[in-house]
Amino acid sequence: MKKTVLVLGLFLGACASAQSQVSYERVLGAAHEPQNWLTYSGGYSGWRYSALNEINTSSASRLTMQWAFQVADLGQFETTPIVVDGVLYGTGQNNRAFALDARTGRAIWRYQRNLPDKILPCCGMVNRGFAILGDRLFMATLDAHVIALDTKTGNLLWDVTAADYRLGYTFTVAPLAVKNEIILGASGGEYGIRGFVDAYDAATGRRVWRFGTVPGPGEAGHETWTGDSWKTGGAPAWLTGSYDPELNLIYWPTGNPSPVNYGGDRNGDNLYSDCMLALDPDTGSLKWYFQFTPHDVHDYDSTEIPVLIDADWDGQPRKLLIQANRNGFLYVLDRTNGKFLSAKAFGKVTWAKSIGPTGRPIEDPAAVPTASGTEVCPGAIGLTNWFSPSYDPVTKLLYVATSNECDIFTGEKQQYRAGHDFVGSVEVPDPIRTPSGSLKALDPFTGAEKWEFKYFNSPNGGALSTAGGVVFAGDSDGNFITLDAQTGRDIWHVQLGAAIYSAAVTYQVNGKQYVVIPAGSALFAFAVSEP
Amino acid sequence: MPANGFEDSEVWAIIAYLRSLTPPKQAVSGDRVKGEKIFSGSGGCSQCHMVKGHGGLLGPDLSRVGASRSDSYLIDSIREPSKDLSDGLFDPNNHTGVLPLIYDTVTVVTADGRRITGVAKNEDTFSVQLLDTGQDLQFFLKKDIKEVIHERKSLMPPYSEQMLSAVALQDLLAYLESLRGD
Repeated sequence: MKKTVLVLGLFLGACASAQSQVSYERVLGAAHEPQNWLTYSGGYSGWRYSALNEINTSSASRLTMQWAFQVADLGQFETTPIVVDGVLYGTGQNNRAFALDARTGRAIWRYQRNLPDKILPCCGMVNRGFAILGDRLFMATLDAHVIALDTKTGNLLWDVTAADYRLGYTFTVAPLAVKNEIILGASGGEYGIRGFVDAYDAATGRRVWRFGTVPGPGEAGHETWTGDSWKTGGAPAWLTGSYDPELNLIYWPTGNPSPVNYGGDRNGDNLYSDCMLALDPDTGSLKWYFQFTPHDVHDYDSTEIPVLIDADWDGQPRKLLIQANRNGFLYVLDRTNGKFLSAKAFGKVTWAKSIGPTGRPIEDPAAVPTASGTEVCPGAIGLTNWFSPSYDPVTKLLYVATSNECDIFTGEKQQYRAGHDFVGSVEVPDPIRTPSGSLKALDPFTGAEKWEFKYFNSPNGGALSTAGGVVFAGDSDGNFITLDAQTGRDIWHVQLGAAIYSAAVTYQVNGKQYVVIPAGSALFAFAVSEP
Repeated sequence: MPANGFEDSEVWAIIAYLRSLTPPKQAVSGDRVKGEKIFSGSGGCSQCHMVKGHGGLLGPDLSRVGASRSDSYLIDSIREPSKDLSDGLFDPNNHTGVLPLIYDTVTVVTADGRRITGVAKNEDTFSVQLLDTGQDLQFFLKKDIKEVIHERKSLMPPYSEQMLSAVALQDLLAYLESLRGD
């Protein structure tokens, strides 16, 4: 009897292993466990930086493939995996998901959501990853649900409806776990949705709060919309925000107003489109906002990752928020109050002549889309876009993937029809110049360019920097590339055979550092081979 | 053109209507036999274009061109071959990607200054692949060469009226029209 109790005790002990219990405190201290990758940007500050250094400027030339995992689906593979104590959790196209042995790539479980036929994602059946809290994984789905899966089995624990997919609401975002909440935002700016940022209770799936990004009657900011345009105002919130636990503020960026290329029926600034929102994570109340592109008519979503850096500014220590914005300017804000500090173009910009002293752009009226077309830089995909930047605290450089595409923008009145495209235009790449791209190393405070690594094609892959003094990047032609973080020198690259649509993450198992990158339909893992 | 939100059935109805507007092909007045001789002989077309397994490799295979292209397109392609330098296949899952140009003229300048010109086959950040004017495949790593020059024009010379009279053009068209993959 005693032996039986002992065996049972061991079994229960094993089941209660802390292996995949990820508390809020662990995510908060993610920088202290670089062997794991606990949240979308690697930590709440949005740096996408790792303290691991086994792969470095000397060893990176010996990177060799360790394993590949096939998702067995087609489309853009945009996941940022979560890695916890040797287990890798990823999401795939069409809301597939999986857990892998992070050392071998062997699957532990697979999940696929049964999606309805008439979902309306603008730009592919994509998902950018899980959030993790406790022993649960959280995914925001293409049919506008939020679900929780068990980390060990992939079993569905709860499933809540957030919005009506038939109206164009979708989720592609990797949620952010803060305290006991799962925070995420809506996609659907091409369908005339009214955007929102939501928080859900991780235990039950109950919605704790919603911040509507298009204010209704009686709400502050409603006056920035004319007529009924607010009802279909867009302002989605489709990328993961950052969090400052000391200020207890989440920074959540928003996207374009709808219809994006025709503003004649939505005169005004169209708050809170193309904004940085500072929200109280406990209540969802707005503490401050900053609008980058008022009354946007060029699809300059401001959804790019907010990078939180504490640094001296004008001789004073400041809590800064840096964003390389799709509209072509690198912004520096004071993240305690949203005060504008500076903005500098990091590529060719023609839609605005400059940014004024309050942060408001001084726009070129000739850049407004017309029925016959107007050439504007950057193009609709922006100077940068959703793919993550990376901030290296050693080099003090921000690595940003950029495109030099300019577009011919057209804009014409369009009647809203529920559940149909609502963009008021087409955007056509300038037929004269072939766009290309680059990874740029920028001084995040001045915007000065330290180096540039040129890509043949416009990129869709982001960056990861590490204490090894390297930056990992990927191009749209399938090259996974390791660069010297100080100089931009190509140390090593490999052709993976399909466009890279994400940024790498890195982790360590049994003392060995791995770096993984999605390309095509597979996830590839690399590590340094023995010399 | 504003975006629209047509139902699938509406899209097909529009396609059917547009197709109904396409005029039937007019009979070409030229002599097909004379046109074939121009294609294979004096015009030099077959040096670069293949028909039914015979001919060159630099240009597109024309074995079915009569079924797939209008007369006006064929005339443009002969008189102004760079007018429509087609984009490559569009990948619907790569909506922000750059479309490679098909039949773009590319010149690689090697480290020792040699210039090798051909038709672009592929290119990325680190390499370029082309079919040179000698119809050999050439592959280069960009680290080994000085420059890649994209001309954004076809290697095919424009056939002016001095090179190909209006009558000869009609003959050539009659031959091309007859190529339907039979």
